[in-house]
Amino acid sequence: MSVFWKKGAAVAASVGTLALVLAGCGASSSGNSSQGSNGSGQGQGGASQQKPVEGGSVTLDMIQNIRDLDPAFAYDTQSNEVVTQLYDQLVTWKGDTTKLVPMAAEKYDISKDGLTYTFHLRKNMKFWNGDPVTAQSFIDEFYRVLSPKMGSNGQGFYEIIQGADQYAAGKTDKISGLSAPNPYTLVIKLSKPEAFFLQTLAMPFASAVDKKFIESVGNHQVYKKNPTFDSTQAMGSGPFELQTINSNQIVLKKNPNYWRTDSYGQKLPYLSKITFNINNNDQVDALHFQQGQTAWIGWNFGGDGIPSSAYPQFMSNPNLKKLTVSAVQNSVQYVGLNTKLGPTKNKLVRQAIEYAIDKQAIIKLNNGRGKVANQPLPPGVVGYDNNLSPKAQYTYDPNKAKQLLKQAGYPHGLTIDMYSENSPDQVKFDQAVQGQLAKVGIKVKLHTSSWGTFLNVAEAGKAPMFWLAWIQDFPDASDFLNTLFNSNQAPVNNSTNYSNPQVDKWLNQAQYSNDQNERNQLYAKVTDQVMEDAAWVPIYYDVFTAAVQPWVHGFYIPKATTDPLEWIWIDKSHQKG
Amino acid sequence: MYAYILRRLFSAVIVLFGISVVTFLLIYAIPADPARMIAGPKAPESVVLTIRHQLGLDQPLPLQYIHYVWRLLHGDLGTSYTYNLPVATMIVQRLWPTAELALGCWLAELIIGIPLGIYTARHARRLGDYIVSALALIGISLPLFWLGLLLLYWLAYQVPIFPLGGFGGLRYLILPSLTYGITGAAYYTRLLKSSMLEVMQQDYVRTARAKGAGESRVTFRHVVRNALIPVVTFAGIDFSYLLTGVVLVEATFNWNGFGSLAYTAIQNLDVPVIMGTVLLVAVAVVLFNLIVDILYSVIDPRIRYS
Repeated sequence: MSVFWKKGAAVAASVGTLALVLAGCGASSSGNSSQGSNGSGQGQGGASQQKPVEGGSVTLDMIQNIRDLDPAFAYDTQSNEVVTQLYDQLVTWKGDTTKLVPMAAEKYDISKDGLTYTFHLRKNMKFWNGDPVTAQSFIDEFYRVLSPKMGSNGQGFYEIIQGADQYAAGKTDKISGLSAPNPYTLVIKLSKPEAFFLQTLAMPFASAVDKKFIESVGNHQVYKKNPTFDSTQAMGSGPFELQTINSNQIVLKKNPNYWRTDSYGQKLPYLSKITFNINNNDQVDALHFQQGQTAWIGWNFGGDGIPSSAYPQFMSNPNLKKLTVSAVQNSVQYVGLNTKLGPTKNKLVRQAIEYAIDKQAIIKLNNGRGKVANQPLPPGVVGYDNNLSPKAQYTYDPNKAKQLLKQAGYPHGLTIDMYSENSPDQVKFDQAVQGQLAKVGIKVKLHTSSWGTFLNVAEAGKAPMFWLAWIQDFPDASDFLNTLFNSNQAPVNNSTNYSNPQVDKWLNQAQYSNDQNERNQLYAKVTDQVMEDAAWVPIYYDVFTAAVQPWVHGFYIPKATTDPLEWIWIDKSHQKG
Repeated sequence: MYAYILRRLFSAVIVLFGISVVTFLLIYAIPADPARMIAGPKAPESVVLTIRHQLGLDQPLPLQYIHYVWRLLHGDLGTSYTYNLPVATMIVQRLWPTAELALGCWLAELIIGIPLGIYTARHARRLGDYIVSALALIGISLPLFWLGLLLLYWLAYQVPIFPLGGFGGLRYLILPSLTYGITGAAYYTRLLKSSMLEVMQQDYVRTARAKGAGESRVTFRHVVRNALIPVVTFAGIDFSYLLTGVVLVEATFNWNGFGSLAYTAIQNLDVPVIMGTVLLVAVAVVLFNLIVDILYSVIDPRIRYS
C-alpha cells in the first residue's frame, strides 16, 4: 500500500493503495438490505441476520498480476491484498472500521510511557506445513524487513523500534527492542513513543513467517544476499493457502486448520476456493460481472471499483445500481504548488490558484466519483478538521483569483509549468485545470509523461505545479500531514517543498505524543496553516463503488487494508459441485 | 544454400548485438530510477541505495552492459525487477499463448484475405470488386479494440457463444483471431489483387489461356502461384510481428502474451524484461526473414541462393 495513487487502474505500473471508507458520515450505501446492513457487523463478529453457509468458490477479476508474495515486499495494492489472505498479523482492523483488534495476538498491553508493547500470542496457530507460529516468527520478519541488505519497502515504518535504526544501517546485527521472553510472548520496545505504531503492525510487513521455509526456498533472484522468497511461493498461517500462481491467475484454497471462528462457532474461512483472474481489460471485467461469472467487481481497493467505462451503465440501470455499494476512501487527489520554485513561490499566486479551480467540475469529469476536498486529510481519518479557520477556506471565485494575481504583481497573467502522468483520466483533469486557470489569466503549460518519469520530476521537488494523489498506509493523520508537509520529508514526499518551522514543530510534537486529543488539536492547527499557505489545492477524496452479486454475503468495503475474504460466504444455491 | 544460411545467421548475430546495445542505451536514457520505483515513494534513501546496489545500477553503464551480455551468453536473461522472476521463465510461460494467438490471427487474416484477393482480381473493376474493396477498406480502418469489444459484447455477452475473454482452448481463440483477421485481412487482399493483376498481364498467362487451360487452372496454377511472392514476404514479416505480441488484441481479450508482458514492463521500468522482449522480437524478425527467403525458392524454383 503505498502512497501515490495512480489513477486509471488499467495502467499496470504503479502502486496503488487500499481504499477506505468514511467513518460513519458520508459512507453512502445504496446496496440492498442484505449487503448494505450486514457489512460492519459481519466484519469480525459474524453477526449477520442469516447464519453463514460454508463451501463454494468465487471468481474475481484482478487488473494486474501481483508483484510479490513475500510479505516484506507487499507494498503495492495487488500484492497487499493477496498477501494479507495468506499471512497473519499481530493486530488487524475490525471489519469496516478503523478500530484495531487483536489477531495473532490474543491480547496486548502497552506500557504507560507508550514505549513497551507486550503481545500475548494465540497458542494454536500453525503454518500450513504444520510448523507452529511463535513470537520468533514475528521477530524473524522484523529482522528481514529491517535488514540493510533486503531493501524492503517497509523498513521506514519500523525504525522506531529500539536499535532498529542501528541494525538497518548495518552497525549491529541485533535489534535490542525485540525480544521473546517465552515462545508466546513478544515484547517490542520503541525508542520514542509513537501513537500510531500499532497501526503499522497491521500491515503485511509485520506478518508471521516460517524461517525454516524461507531458508529452504531462499532463492530470491534479485536479492541473493539475503534469503527471501521468490514471488511465486508462500508459507503463511492465514485463512487461505496458495494453490497456484501464474501469469493468468492466482488460486487460493481454504486453510482447513485456520484458528479463527465466527460467532456461531463455525470455522473460518467459509469459501473453499477463490480464483483471481488477471484480466487487464476492465470493460470485460464489467461484462463478467453482469454475466454473473464474478462474485463482485471492485476487488482491489486501490482502484476505482467499477471501471470508468462501465460506471455510467451501472448507475443508470436500476437492476445493476441496486447491487452497488459506495464509500469515500481515505485518499486525496491534489494539485501541488511548489513553494520554492517558479511563480508559485509567491503565496498570493498559490492562493489565486486555490480560488480559480472549480473542483466540482473536475469531479463531474470523473463521473461524479469524488467528494470535494477542503483539506489534505480525508474525513475518514482521525484528526480531520471539521472547523477549518476562515483563512484556510477557499471557494471557487475567479474574480477573487484575478484580484490576488494583480496584488501579486501579475496584472497581465503568467505562465506555469504543470507536470502529471499521461493516463487518459489524468489528461482530462489536466485540461480542465488548464481551462479554469486560463480564465483568470494563468497559462498552464502541461508536461505529461509516463508514471515513472513524472514521479522522477515531482519527487525531486522540480515540478512547479503537479497533480498527485495520496493514499493512506494506515488511518492516522500523521501518515498524511507529517509525511506530506514536514520539511524533513522534502522533496520525495513533500514535493511542494513546503517548509514552515512552526508547522514542523507541531508535526513533531504530534508524532510522538500519546494523547489523541492533543494530537487532534495539533493536526487541526497544521491543517489550517498549510491551507492558508496554499501549498496544495486538495481537489477531491476518491469515492469507491463496488457491485456485489445478490448471492454474496459478508462483503464490506474496508477502511484500512485487509479485505473481507475470510468472512465472505455465498448462497447454497450458488455452490457448484 | 548452406553457405547462404550460415552467412545470414552470422549477420543476424551482428544485428542482434546492435539491437541490444541500442535498447540498453535507450532504456538508460529514460530519466527515471528503477530502484526508486521498486522501493516505493515512502522508502528511506538507504533502502533505495540498497536496491540500486543489489541490481548493480550503481556501476558504470559500460560495465553494466558487459555484465548483461556476459550473463546473456550463459543463457541468463536476467531477473524481472518487478516480479522477481527470471525473465526466461516469464517469457517461456507466455510462449504457447503467444504462439497460439499469433497463429490464430495469422490464419484468420489469410483465410479472409487471400480468397477475397483472388476474387477481386478476377472481378477487377466490376461491382463485386468495388463492394469487397470497400469492405476491405472499412476493415483496415476499424479500431481493433472497438471491433474486439463489439464482438465480445454480441457474441460472448448478449449471445454467449464464446467465452468473455481469457486464454484456453480453441473457443477462446476464435474471437481474438476473427477480430485481428477482419482488420488485417485487407492488406493481403490488396497485395494479392495488385500482384495478380500484374501477373495476369504476363505473356505466359495468355499462353496458358491460348493452349486451352480452364479459368480456374489459369488462376490457381499460373496466376496465383506467381503472384504469391510478395504475399509470402509480407506474411512472413507479419507472422514474426504477430509472434512478438499483439498488444491491442491481448489487452482487449485479456490474453497474457508477449504484448502485455512488454507493455507492463515498460510501464514498470522493468529493464531486464524490456531487454528480454526486445531481444525476442529481434530474433523472431531475423529468423522469419530467413525462413521467408528460403521459402521463395520453394515457391519459385527459379530463385536460387548460392
